[in-house]
Amino acid sequence: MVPIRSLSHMIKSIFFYHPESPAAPFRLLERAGEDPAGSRPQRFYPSAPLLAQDQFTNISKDLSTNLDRIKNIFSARDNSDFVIRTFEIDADTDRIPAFIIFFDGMADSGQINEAIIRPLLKNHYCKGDSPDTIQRLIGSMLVEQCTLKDVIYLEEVVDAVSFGNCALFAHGCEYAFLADVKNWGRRSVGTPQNEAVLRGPQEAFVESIRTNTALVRKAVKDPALIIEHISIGKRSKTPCALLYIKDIAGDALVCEARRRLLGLDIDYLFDSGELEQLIEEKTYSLFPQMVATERPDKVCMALASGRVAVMVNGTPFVLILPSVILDYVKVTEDAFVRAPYSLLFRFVRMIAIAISLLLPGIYIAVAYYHQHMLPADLLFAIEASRENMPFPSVFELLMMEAAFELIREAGIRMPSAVGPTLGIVGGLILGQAAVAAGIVSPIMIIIVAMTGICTFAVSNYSLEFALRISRFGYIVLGSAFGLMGIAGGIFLQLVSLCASYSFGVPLLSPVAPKMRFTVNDIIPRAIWKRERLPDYVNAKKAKTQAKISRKWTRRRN
Amino acid sequence: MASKIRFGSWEGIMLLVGLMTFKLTVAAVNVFTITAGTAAWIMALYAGITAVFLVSLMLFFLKSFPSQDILDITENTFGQAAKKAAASVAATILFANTATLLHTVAQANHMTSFTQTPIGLILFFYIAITVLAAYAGFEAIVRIHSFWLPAAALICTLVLATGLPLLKADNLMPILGNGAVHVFADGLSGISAFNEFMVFLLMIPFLGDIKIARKTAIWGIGISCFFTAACVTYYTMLVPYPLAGKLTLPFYEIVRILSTSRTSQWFESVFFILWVFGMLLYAAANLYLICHVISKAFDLKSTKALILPIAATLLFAAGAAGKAFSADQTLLYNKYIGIFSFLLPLALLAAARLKHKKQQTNT
Repeated sequence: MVPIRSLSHMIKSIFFYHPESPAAPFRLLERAGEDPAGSRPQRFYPSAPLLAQDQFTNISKDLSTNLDRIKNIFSARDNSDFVIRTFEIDADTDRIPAFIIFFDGMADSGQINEAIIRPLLKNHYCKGDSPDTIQRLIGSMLVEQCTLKDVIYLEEVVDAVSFGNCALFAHGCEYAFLADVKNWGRRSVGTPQNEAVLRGPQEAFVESIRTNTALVRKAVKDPALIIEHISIGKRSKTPCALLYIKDIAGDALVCEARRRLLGLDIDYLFDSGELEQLIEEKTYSLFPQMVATERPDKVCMALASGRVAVMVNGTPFVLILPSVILDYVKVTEDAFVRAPYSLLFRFVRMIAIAISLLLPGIYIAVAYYHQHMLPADLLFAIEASRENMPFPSVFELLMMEAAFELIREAGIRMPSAVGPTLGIVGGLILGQAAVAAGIVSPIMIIIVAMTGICTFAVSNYSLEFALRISRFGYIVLGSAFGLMGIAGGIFLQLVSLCASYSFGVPLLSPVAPKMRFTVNDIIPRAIWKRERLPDYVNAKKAKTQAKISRKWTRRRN
Repeated sequence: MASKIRFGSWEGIMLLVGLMTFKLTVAAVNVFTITAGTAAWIMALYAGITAVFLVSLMLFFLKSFPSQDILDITENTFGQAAKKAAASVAATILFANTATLLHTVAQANHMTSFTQTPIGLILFFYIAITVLAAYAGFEAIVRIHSFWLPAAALICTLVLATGLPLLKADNLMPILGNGAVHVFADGLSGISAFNEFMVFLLMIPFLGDIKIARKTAIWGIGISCFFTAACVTYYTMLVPYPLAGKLTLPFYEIVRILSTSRTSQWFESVFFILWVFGMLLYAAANLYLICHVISKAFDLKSTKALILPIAATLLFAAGAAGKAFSADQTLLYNKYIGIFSFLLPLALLAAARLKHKKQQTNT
């Protein structure tokens, strides 16, 4: 029923008028004087977009009330890893009941013992003081923890404890203390798995958001770098971070990014891939609308060029926005090596994209309809290789492409130790056997292998997917309409790209619409010629280096 | 920087040039060679200069109506009925242009590469893709022009440059070809080669600023005139008259002549892709504009709802064009359509300006 309903909806949308949505689509235009904090809620509390101020629960002065509430919220009876430790703070004249809560395994129990419980139980500082004084002094003297903060809402306690913190409640105190004692198993910073380079930093993001922000901050080393915390997910409260350099990134872009992040009403968020789909303009588009990277240097470069980055805790992939189609062809190494080298790399990648997308379709088109366009020798060679083949070329090609996709998918899912075996069995033995059995022609193996190799040269994972899917379309178009079909397919994809935006920036910028752009946007230039920031991000600064950045080249007086 | 992300003068110029010069790949060159013989290049220059003059006149009249298209001007000056009439004429011309060209190109594709494929299927292919592109919106179509056209022009120039040694200056003799009367009196009909300029009069509001609109018009017509004159000269120097007037697909034949060597044998396939691409852009832009003109004239709320019905009509019209009109009739159409697309708007704008001035004097 659902497909029928969506089909009828589509037909209705073609023939019947629907008033446009009152909210005009966002276009990245400069809004002078807008405060980047403009869309920030008054109290920047994680659940703010979803909870009104009066929906928060104040922490009670009565300890037992707090304890009951906590037990209820965390289902303390059922949760085996949830720890409540009650004790009494020694205040000489009085003993103040207190308790701490944390999740075993997420918090460092050694640190809790040493820095929180021991000082409170063996209080040497406040003998004879009243309970009020002790509560005041917990933060300033008693608890030996560097990141201790007091909160007044129970919801804040719940979020923090769920994220590995330890909360301390004391009787008569209308706020709780949160100590950052997170210590869950985390991966150390390693080398990039998917975006390897020969020249340049060899660090990659990890699953911990704080490690990731630290990686960026240590590379940028600019006090103007802002890392805003935003929680997404009504239940998961997944910590996310919005990163930008406040005197470079345009206010409109920052506001829009924040608006989209705060405007999500979902229960859980686990990965930046989900977030990417939740905040992009066209969800069904084949082409990605923002770059996902695991390289801190790429994020730093993006921030320096006036873009915004979004981090999600639990994933090593950071989103960079806005992005244009040329960003998917670039790799960070382009900036680190000499211009002629990066020109070669980029040219090779562009050729690889073209081959990966079009080669099978063009082969079929020429073989079916435009044989006269081939050199006679090549034509004879192809015809000879296809002699006695049982299947039509298009079927053979689709079969081989499908087989290649299967091998690739199996290679990803299977244990890494068996991967090379699969490559040998799938690629070499099966291919050889298929040719020997006369099921596929050798030229078809060459076409499919060439296409596959070129796909691996594409530097962006999402773009690779777009190319792989589009390729099947080109095969069908080429077999049905020859080169005319191929041209039609290219035309449709370009129209689709021209109508696509990434955070208000046309995907084909700066080429279409044509804007002022440096040649470096397309062809890498010498490092001292990379003066201008991309115009399409509407950054607050226009230039990133002086016209003559190598001042030493000036003649000495 | 806010003004960067929008439909600007570069896109507008490229759209106009694309629409006006695409016909050169089919049979537009023949109009010049048949009329003026070896003096086709003089006629092309003459027609180009005339077209620039007429455009300048139009821009002069448009001064009083900043950021208004011809439909707005007609409505404000002569009322609703006149607007509907003007829109009908504009839509009919766009429709006829597209249907004729679609038929010609589909027939050419059928003859050159798809001998087994029915013309109807080729037409259906063009219309299907055109419809999808029109749904993506005018902005997307215009943006493709902005990078496709320079690339196509560069490729075509490189391809044609390989034929420079084959050019013969003798083919331009006698210098006045079929006679001064044919070149200069009949030659006025050469402005029909630029009849797509009418699109400019419909897209002024998209361009916004009057300065941008003026720049778009002047550069658009100027570049188109240059390319037309250059192509006609090249063609006349390569193919001797009277053979030059008999080829049905002049530039396709040229490319085949040039595709003889081993290095140049890919020219044909490259040209073929550019050809199809150009046709799709032409049809998509015109289809959207037809819908835009109709919806604006009749105050319809939606433009996109018209795309499918008009595309279906276009498919039938392009299919029927071959049976309804002979090649000579099509040539005649190509020769005299300029009268409607240049002189009617000019007269309308002149009258509107007069009335506007009169009103201003009265107030």
